[in-house]
Amino acid sequence: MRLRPLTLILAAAITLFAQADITLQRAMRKETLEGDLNGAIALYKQAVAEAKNDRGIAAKALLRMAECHQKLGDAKARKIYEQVVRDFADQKEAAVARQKLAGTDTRASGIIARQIWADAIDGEGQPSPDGQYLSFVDWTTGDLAIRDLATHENRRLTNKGPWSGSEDFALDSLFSPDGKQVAFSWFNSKNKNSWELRMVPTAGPSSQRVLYRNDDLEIIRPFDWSPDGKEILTLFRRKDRTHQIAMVSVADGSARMLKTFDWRAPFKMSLSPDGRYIAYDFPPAEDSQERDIFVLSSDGSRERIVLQDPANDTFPVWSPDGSRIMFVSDRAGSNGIWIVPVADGRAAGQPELIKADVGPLTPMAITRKGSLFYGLMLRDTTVYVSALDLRTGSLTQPLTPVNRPYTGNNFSADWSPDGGQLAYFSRRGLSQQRGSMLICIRSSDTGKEREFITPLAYIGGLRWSPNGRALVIWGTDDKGKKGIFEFDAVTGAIAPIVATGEDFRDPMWSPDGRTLYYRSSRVIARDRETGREREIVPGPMATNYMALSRDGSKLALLVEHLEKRAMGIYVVPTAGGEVREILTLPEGISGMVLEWEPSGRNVIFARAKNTELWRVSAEGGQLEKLNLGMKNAAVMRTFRFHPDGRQIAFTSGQAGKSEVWTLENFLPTLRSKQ
Amino acid sequence: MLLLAVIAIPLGLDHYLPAPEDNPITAEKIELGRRLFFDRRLSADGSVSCSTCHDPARAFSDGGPLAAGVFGRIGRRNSPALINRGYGRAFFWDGRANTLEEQVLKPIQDTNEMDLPLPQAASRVGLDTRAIAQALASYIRSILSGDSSYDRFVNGDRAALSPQQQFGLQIFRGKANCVACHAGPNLTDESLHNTGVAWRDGKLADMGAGAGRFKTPTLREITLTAPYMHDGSLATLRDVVEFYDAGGHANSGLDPEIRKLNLLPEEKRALIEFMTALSGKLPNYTQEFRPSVALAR
Repeated sequence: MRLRPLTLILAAAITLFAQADITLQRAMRKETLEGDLNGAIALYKQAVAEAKNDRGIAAKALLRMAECHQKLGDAKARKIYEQVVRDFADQKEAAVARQKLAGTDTRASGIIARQIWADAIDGEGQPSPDGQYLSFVDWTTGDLAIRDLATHENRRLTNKGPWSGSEDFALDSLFSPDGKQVAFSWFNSKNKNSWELRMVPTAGPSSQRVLYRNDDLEIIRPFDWSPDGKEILTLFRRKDRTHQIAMVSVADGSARMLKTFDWRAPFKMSLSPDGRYIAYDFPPAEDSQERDIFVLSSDGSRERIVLQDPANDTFPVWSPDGSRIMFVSDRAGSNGIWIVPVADGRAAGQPELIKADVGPLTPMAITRKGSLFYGLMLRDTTVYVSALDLRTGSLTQPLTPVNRPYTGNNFSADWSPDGGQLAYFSRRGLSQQRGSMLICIRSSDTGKEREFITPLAYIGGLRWSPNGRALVIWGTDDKGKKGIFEFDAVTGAIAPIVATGEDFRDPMWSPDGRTLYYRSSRVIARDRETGREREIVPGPMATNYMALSRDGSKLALLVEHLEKRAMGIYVVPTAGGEVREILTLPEGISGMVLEWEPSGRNVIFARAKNTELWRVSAEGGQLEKLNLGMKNAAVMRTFRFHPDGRQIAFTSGQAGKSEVWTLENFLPTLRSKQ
Repeated sequence: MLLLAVIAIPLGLDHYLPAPEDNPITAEKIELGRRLFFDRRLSADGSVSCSTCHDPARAFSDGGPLAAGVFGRIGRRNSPALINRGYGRAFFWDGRANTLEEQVLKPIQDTNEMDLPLPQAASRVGLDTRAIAQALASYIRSILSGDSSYDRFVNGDRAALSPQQQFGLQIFRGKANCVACHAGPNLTDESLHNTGVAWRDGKLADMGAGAGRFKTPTLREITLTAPYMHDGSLATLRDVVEFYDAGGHANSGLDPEIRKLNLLPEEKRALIEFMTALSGKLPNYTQEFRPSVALAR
C-alpha cells in the first residue's frame, strides 16, 4: 500500500514518456511517409514539449525538426542544431548535430544538397548526362519511364499494359552518353521468366531492341555505358548463383566476361570517363562484412585495390574528369560521401569526406556538370506491442515500439510458446548482404534484448518452435539460396531444414514439433524425422499467406482469385480433407496477412490495404471489424497474439519511401573553378 | 625484349586472368616455365619432373590414387589437375599456399615428391629461386580449359548439351546442389569443406586444412582425372555420385551442405553424363621443350 503513490507517479511518467514517443513516431511518419515537413515540425515540437525529462526523445525530436527546417531551406535549422549541441551534449544526437552544422555551412563549402523528387515512384534509375531527365520504373505498370526534371512530367518509354495482362517489368536503367537511348533490364514473363538487356530511344515512339538474352542467367543489370557508346558494363547473375562482370557490345549483343564473383556481387560498378577502368565495391574476404573499392581494367589485363580499409566502402562512381572516385563509406562512424583522387587506376591521395551522415542513400551517377544524383530509401517498419481485449476487439494500452534505437527497421515479431520472449528481426545497413539481418530476442519480463547477427542475406519471416528454444525462418542464405532454416535461440547457430532453393514461405511447426508446414504454390507438410513431404492441398494454389491454428489441426490460407481480382480465406485440416473457403474479399489482390485467434474459433485478418483488422469465424459467417488497427493508416505487415490472448505484437509501417536528391558543387576541381 | 603473352581465353573463362604485379605474364616466362615443368633435374635423383604427377595427357593429373615421388616414394595425397589454376585463390588440397609462386616451389622440396633443396635446384638449372617460381607459375597460368559443351550451352547454344546432360545440369544445380561448392566458370568455390572423405574408422585419417577440410577441386576435364578426392579413394565418377548421394561420411565436422540426396538411378546417370560435358580444349603440351602458346606483342 505504501508503494501506491510512487507507482502512480511512475505510471504517470511512463504514460507521458510513451505519449512523447508516440508523438515522435507520428512526426517521423508525417515527415518520411507523407512528406509533410511543416506538419512534422509541429509534431516534433509537441514531442519535445511532452518529453520533458526524457532527454533522449527530446534530442531526437529536435534533431529531426532541424533536418526538416534544413530540407525547407529554413535558417532555423542552424539554431536548432546549435541548441542540440549546447543543451544535449550527453546525447548521441549532439555529435550528429555537430556534423550537420559543418554540413549546413554552405557559405564555406558551397556544397548544396537538393531534393528533386519527394515522392519518387522509384529511386534507382539514372540521370541523363545533362541532368535534365531521370530514368525510373513506373511501378504502376512496370514500364520504363523518364521524368523531365524541369517540368516534372513523366513519360513512359515502354508500354506493356497493366499488371493484370503482363507480369513483365523493367528494372535497372541508364542513359547512353549522348542521352538518346536508355539501356535497361527487362523481366520477360513470357520467356520462362528470363531477363533481357534492352535499349529504347528516348525520343519515342520507337521500338525496343533486345540487346542480350541468355536463358542461363537469373538476372542482368546494366551499370554504365562506355564513353564511346559501344559497350554496356553489365552484371550477370548465373543460375549457379555466381556473378560476372560483362561488357555487352551495343553493335552485335555479344558479351565479354571479365571477372567472376561468387554468390556476392558489387553494389555498384562505374566506368572511368576514358573507358579504361571499372571501379566496383566488393568484400575483400569471404567472411568480411565490409567492402573495399577495386579498379579492374576494362580489357581484363589487371586489377587493383584502390581503397583497403576496415570501414565499409561502397558505391564507387567516377567523377566526370576521371580524377576522382566518389564513394559511400562509414569510415567516419556513419554513412558519408567521400572522394579519393585516382591516377592510372590507383589511389593518388587520401580520401576526403564531402558530406557526413547521409543515411541509406544509393548513388545513381554524376552528371557532366558534376551533380551527384542519389536515391534515398526511407524505411518505416516498426514492431509494437500492446495489451488488448479480444472480446471487445480493442487495445487496452497505447502501442509501445520495441528496440527504439532501430525503430523503423524491425519486422515480423512472434511470441514464444510460453510468452516469455518476443523474437523479431532487425535490418541494419544495406540489405541483401551477410550481416545485415539480425535476430533480436526480447525478454517479456525485463525488456532486455539479445541480438544475433545471422549469416543470412535475407529473412522473410520467423516463428517460434514449440519447445521455445528455436525459431524457424524462411529467407535466403549468404550464398543466395532460398530455404527454410532453424535458428538456435540459445547459441545463435543456424542450420538449413529445407535447402532446395525453392521459394518456400511461412514455415511453422506442429505443436508436437514433428511436422513442419510451409507453402510455395503448394502447401506442404514435412516429417521432421524422415524428411518425407506430403501435399495438404492437392495441386497448385495461389496462396499468399498461411497460419496454423494453435492446436495444429487446421491451416488458414489466404488465396488469390486472379480471375475475380479477389482474395479468399480458406481453412483446411492439416490431416487432409476438405479445403473450404470461408470468405471471399472482393477488394482486389493484395499482400494480406492473417492469424488464428488463440481460441482457434476465429481467424483474424488484415484488410483495407492492411490498415484494419477484421474477425471471421473459422466456420464462416458474419464479419466483425476490430479496433486494433494502427492510426494514420499505417500498414500492418504482420501481427501475432501472445499465448494468453491479452497482448498483441504488430509489425507496422510502409516498406519504404523513395526520394531523389542531388548533391551539387561537391567535386573539389569544380569548386576551385568557381 | 619481353613479349607480353596474350593468352587466348577460351569460351567460358574470365578475360581477367590474375597475376601478381611483380610477375606479369610474359611469353618468355611461360616458355621457361614450360621447360622447367618437364625438367627432371629439379628432382633429387633426376627421376621425376613436375609433369610426372601432372601429365598433360591426363589434364595434368597422374591417374594414380597418390602422387609418386623420387626413390619410389609415395605421397600423402592425390595429384590434383592443374587446370585453370591461374584463377585459383588457394593452392594444394589443404589450401596452404596463397599464390602460385608460393605453391610451385613446395613439391620441389617435399621429401615425398622431388626432394631437392631450393639452392640445389637453382644451381642445377642456373636460375635463382624467384625466377623458377615466377616461370613455373606463369606456365601454370597458361594452362586453360574452356569452350566445352557446357560453356557453349550456358552462353546461349541450347543444343550444345544433350537432353540427358541438360537433365543432369538441372540435378547438378537443384536436387543434388553440387553448385553449393562447384560454382562459377571453374566449377569450384576455391573453399575448404569437410565432405567426410577423410573420415575412416571413427577418426579423421587426414586433417587436411584442419577438421578434415579440403579444397573443392575443379570439375573441368573431370573424365581425365580419375581417381577422385584428395586421397584418390574413389575410382570412378559413379563412385563419387554414390558417395555424395549417401550424404558423405557422417562426422562432427561434416559440411552442412552435405546430406543424403536420395537421387534416383536416372538422376545419377544424368549427373555423370553432364560431367562428361565439362571437357574442353586443352592446349597441346605433350611435346616437351616445344613452345605451344600463341604469343603476341
